Amino acid sequence: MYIIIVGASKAGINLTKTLLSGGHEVTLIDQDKAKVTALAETLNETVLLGNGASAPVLKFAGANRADVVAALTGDDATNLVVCQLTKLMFMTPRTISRVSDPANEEIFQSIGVDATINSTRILNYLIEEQVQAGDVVVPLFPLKGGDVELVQVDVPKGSAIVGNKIKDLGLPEGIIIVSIYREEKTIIPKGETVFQQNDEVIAIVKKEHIDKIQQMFKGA
Amino acid sequence: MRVVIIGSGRLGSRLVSVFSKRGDSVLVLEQNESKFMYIEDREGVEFLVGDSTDETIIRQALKKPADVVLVATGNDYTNIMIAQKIKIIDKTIKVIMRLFDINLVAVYMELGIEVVCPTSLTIDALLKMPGIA
Repeated sequence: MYIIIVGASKAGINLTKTLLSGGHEVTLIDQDKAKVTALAETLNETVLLGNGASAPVLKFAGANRADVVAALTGDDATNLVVCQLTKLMFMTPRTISRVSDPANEEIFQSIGVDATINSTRILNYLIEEQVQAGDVVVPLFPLKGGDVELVQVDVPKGSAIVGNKIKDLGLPEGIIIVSIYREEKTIIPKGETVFQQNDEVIAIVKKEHIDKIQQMFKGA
Repeated sequence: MRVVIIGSGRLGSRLVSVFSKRGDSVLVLEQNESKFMYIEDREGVEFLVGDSTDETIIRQALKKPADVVLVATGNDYTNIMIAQKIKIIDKTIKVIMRLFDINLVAVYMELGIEVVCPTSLTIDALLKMPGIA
């Protein structure tokens, strides 16, 4: 895929690196010359100096063949124009925007931006959920619809599930163990997989089962 | 005529004077109160201080139905955001915005927002000047 990212914010830089290492073609556009020069030392021609909300710059970056354009500057109005320009002038199939002010989400949706990322909302959400959930279950992301969540559960010392196979846990419908991160490796688990202490487990859980998973994993 | 002007910079402040002198009912919205100082003729002008990208403030500015809204902050992207927010609140309202970037003009004209572009006006004027034409 070819992805254009506008705005060399921390998020923009990290996303660029992640996508590059995933084998994607990326152009990162920013108008801060010092920033671009510094980034070019490691990212070479991946970075482009220019205003990403300007049609000639986007054209130069090859917006007409981009599969995704992500607007990640800190300014909502700039992000709005980036998405609108690429959609209307370059027919970009998918646009994603960072939105800083939650009140602006409506306008992004109304002009057809495919996805909005609102860090304020995510942060609020995380803090709210954190307080409810206690220590064990960390909500990562609400899935569309809202009643199902992606969560991380760490296996603490003395947890009753250590030494148990997944298939013997008697997991109810509505809890799926997606992956286990153990000793710097990610395991895609099967029924035979045995839990160990310090496993970081990612699961998809129906909201009503959050308490249940909390109970199962909790330490001594 | 009821005119709402958003932004009281070099352009907005002059527009306020022009329309108020003409006898129109004018409201001017500006975030930075000190910019109201630039307005020379201000008889009957209503002043509203607030963030013009904030929907609540925009609604407040449009409380009395406006015949036309002139969007004239100094930033193209802000103007685009404001103009479209106004259109979401009331699609029938006439909105004219100032954009410096010529490349953006066609895109937004197509979306039903009228645009005045000082850059293209300057070019047109220059090309008509003696010694150039």
